[in-house]
Parts: sequence; structure tokens; C-alpha cells
Amino acid sequence: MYKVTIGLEVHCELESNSKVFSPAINGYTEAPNSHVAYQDLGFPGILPVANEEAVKRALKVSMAMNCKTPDEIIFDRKNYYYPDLPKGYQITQMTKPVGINGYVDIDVNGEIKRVDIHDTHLEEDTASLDHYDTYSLIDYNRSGIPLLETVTEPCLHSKEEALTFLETYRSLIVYCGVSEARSDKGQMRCDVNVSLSETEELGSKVEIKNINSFYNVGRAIDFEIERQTEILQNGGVVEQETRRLDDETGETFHMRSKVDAVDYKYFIEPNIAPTPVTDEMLEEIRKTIPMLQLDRKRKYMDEYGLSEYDAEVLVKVKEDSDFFQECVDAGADPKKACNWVTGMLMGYLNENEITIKDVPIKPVMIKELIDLVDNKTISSKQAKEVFECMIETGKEPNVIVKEKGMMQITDDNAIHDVVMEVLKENDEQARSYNPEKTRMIDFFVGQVMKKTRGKANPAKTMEMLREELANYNK
Amino acid sequence: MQKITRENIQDYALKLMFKMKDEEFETFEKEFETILKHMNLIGQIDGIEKVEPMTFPFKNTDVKLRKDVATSTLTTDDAVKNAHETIYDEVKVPKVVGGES
Repeated sequence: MYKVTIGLEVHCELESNSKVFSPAINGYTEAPNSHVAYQDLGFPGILPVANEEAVKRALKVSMAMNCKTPDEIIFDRKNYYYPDLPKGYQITQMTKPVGINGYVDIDVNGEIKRVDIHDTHLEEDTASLDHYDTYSLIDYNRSGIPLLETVTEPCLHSKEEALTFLETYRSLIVYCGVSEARSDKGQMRCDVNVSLSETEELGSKVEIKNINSFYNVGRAIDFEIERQTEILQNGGVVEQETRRLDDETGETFHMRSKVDAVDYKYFIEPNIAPTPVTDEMLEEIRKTIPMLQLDRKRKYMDEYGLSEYDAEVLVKVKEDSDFFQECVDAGADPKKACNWVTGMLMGYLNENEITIKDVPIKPVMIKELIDLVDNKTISSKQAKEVFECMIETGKEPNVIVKEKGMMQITDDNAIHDVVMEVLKENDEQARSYNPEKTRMIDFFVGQVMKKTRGKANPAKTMEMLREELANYNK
Repeated sequence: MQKITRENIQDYALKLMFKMKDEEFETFEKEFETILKHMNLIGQIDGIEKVEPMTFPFKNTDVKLRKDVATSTLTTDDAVKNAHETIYDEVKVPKVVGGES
């Protein structure tokens, strides 16, 4: 067996109102070439001006990954010729990226692994190309959209680790609120480096470029491990090269060798003057970084005593996790709040294919609902009914309970009167009562509920019935 | 200092996609020799190794980033005005699969 080493380069488009170096709209549209300014077309004489929000968002992700931030923002030119890049160069960062030497902890089957981040840098996306039989078409809408590229060290050693990192990174981006990070919308793309070695030294690096989904990253890694293993087992040497994944077959194919490596002739972008990064600016950004997925999961398990499964379900979507946290902050018991959120609430959201933002329910309502059950105002069965009404109407649980006349009868005397009435009306059954037969007692409970229209406290009713029935024949 | 050879220049020309004539290569070789001579002279200045390479002439701490406001966007007609050919508002170019991206 050979030791597998994987490094990832992940590109993610950042959300903002305008593009990273031009004032054109950064947003999705179906109309080609409609979100374009002169800068995005590489017109002569253009001057790019960096977008403050894009820079701040990039710094936010950098800090969330524990990276060292630069003292100033500068950009570099990466020169290459291709139709998706009208200027003939891409404005990116190499000299001073927004972050270097960071790390992200990932949870691989319960084991925490630290993934080292080489750097993360802000750049502009290229135009998109569509290829046809004899020609290609260019749409410049994507040209200039802020793109954050994060490069890991070659420190991942299996497909599972690589995919777990990608999921964790994606959630970090989403938790930070800087992008939806959806690969189905082309917002996330990935280059994967795979090398195999028998020793501690790294083997030849094979790079698979431009993979468009996590699923395909997995396929590319599987294929490369198999391909390189076969070469090595047959005494061959793996060539250092760049390859591409064929989406149809899941196989990778040769794109270019190391000897043809492009020399990008990087140099500092002279048209954008350096902007200082102040401590105040960093502090402002730091305040906006939320607690991340893995930390929340640990907190829910360690502090709230939730199961790993429940904790994982809660942190999957940040809004759900925020909602749960607000229930707890409002004073709800974490386990009970978790039951409501992961059970009824998420069930409702999934069934209707909507998110928590689409329903009028507020965290404090869950807390009130739990209280109503705890102080026996309503039964847990009734609570479900209240919940359904709450999520449809946004009314507070107290209001619903009143409107529906759901208040449970907890007054002992009142219940006792009904119990006695029921026994009298069902004299024959009461006489033949046998405590061994549980269905019998259920019958009486049912009768009491019928008379009180479900409002009698079930536990109290049961207790009184047992007592009265035991004495009935004496 | 490393000499710039004909092979170096050929390699750069290829990578930068320049087609060059033989006499142009000769001119370049001579010019690089002169440039390197000058660089050598500069290299002899005392303490030069402590001087940072200059990209910007002076430090301007007053540079502001642009506020994130989407303003001027070209109309699609204007955006593709210079294209030789368009199909459904996209710019048509010869097929370019397999290059750099």
C-alpha cells in the first residue's frame, strides 16, 4: 500500500453588490453580457478599484481559518492568454495574500484532524465559456466576480479526509455569511493534487484541475489512487502533470506536463495602490465571525448533553442552529428545545421544502410551548396541535391555547367529579375492573377525556381512576 | 548575474506567444547584455541588498477601498459592440477547448 497525500485548492465566489474591481452587478442573471462594466472587458485605460466589502469578506474567512493577515492589501497580476480573460492577466494575490499559515479542524468519524492552510487569496473570476462543435461563446457576466481561493498544505491522506475538509470549509463560508457556496451554481470549484509514495517523501504531484462538485472530487481521487498505484506496482514512475476529469466516465486524462508548465510572470498590480489593513478594521471584522459548525457541535454535546446525532442535525444549517441557540438563550431546556427543533420544526420545513426563514415561528415561542407542557397547562399531544397552529399562523402558544380552549383541567376536584360520573355511568365495567388488564383503564381514561373534550390532565386522570376503581368494589 | 541566452528568449517568446524574427532575437540579446551590465553596476552599490524592490513610488496611507455599490453597468449592446460576431448576446470565438483556465 502506498501513502496517499492530497492537497486542495478551493475556489469560492463571494457575494457582494458589485464586482471585485468594477462597479458592475455581482449577481445571477440569465441574460448574457448584462452585468458587465469596462473593467470586466479589459478595455484599454481602465483602472480597477478594489471593493471594500469583498476585501473584508475575504479577511473574515481568513481569520475564521486562523490565518495570519497582511499589514496591507496588495494585488498581483497573473499573466496568461485565454479568451475567458480579456485583459490577458488575472488580478490575484501572491505577494501578500489575505491569509497565510492558518488551519481548519475537521471531524473525521469522531476524530479531530487539523488541516493546515497554506494561504487564502482574493482574485477575480474569469468570464464563462460555452463550447460548441466548431466555436465557443463568451459571457462576461462572471468576469470580475470576487473569488476566494484557499490552498491547503498537502496534509490530507484519504478521500474521506479531503471530502470532510471540503464540507467543513463550505460550512465555514456559509456560517461566515460570505457566500452560499453552492457548487450546483458554479460558486465552488476545486483543483485536487494527489501523490502516492512508499516513503515519507512526497511522490510526484498530479494535479486535477477545475472539478465542479464534491462528488467529482471523490471520483477524481479514487481514479488517481488506482491509476498511480498501478503505475508504481508495475515499477513505473508517475509523471508530474496536470490532468482533467471526464465528468462522464469519472476518469482523468492528461492536460499538460510539468515541462509545459505555464510561467505566469507574476508581478505586483501597479494600478491598485496598497491599502493598509488596520487593527481596528480587523477587530471590526473579527466581531462578525460567528461560532463555527464544529465548535457548536462540541458545545451542544458537552454543555447541553445532546447526542452526537442531534448535535449534527442542529448544526447542519446555520439558521437552524441559530434558532435552537436562541431557544436555549430564552431559557428553554436544551434537550426539549432540540426535540422540538429537530423533530416537529425540521419535519415541517423538510416536508414543505422551505427554510426556517419562511415560517413565522420565533425561538421564544418554543420556550413558551415547553413551559405550557411543563406546567401541565396542556398535554404533550395538545402541544403538537399548538405547534402546528403556531407555525402556520405565527400566533403565540398562549394565545392559541386560549383561543382553542385547550387549558387542561388540573383542578383535582373538577377531575374527580368527572371520574366519579364516568364510573357511575359505566357501573358494569367498573365492577368487573381488573388492574391486570390495561385496556380497561384506557377505556375509562377515554371516557373522561370525551367528557372534558381532552382537557383533563391525563396523568392525574389515570391516577384518580386507579384509586377509585380499586376502591369501587369494596 | 545570469546571462540571458538565445534559448531563454525563445522560451519567453513562446510562452508569451510572440512570433520573432532572427534579427529581433539578436537585438534582444544585445539589449539584454546592456541591461544586465547596468544592473550589475547597480548591484555594486553599498548596502543595496537591504533596499526593498520598489513597486510604488511612495507610501500613501490614505488609499481608500471602493464602497460596495453596483453602479454603472454597460448595456448588453454596448458590451458586445466590438465583437466580430455574437450569438444570443454572447461573443463568438474560435473553439478554445483544452487551453489554460
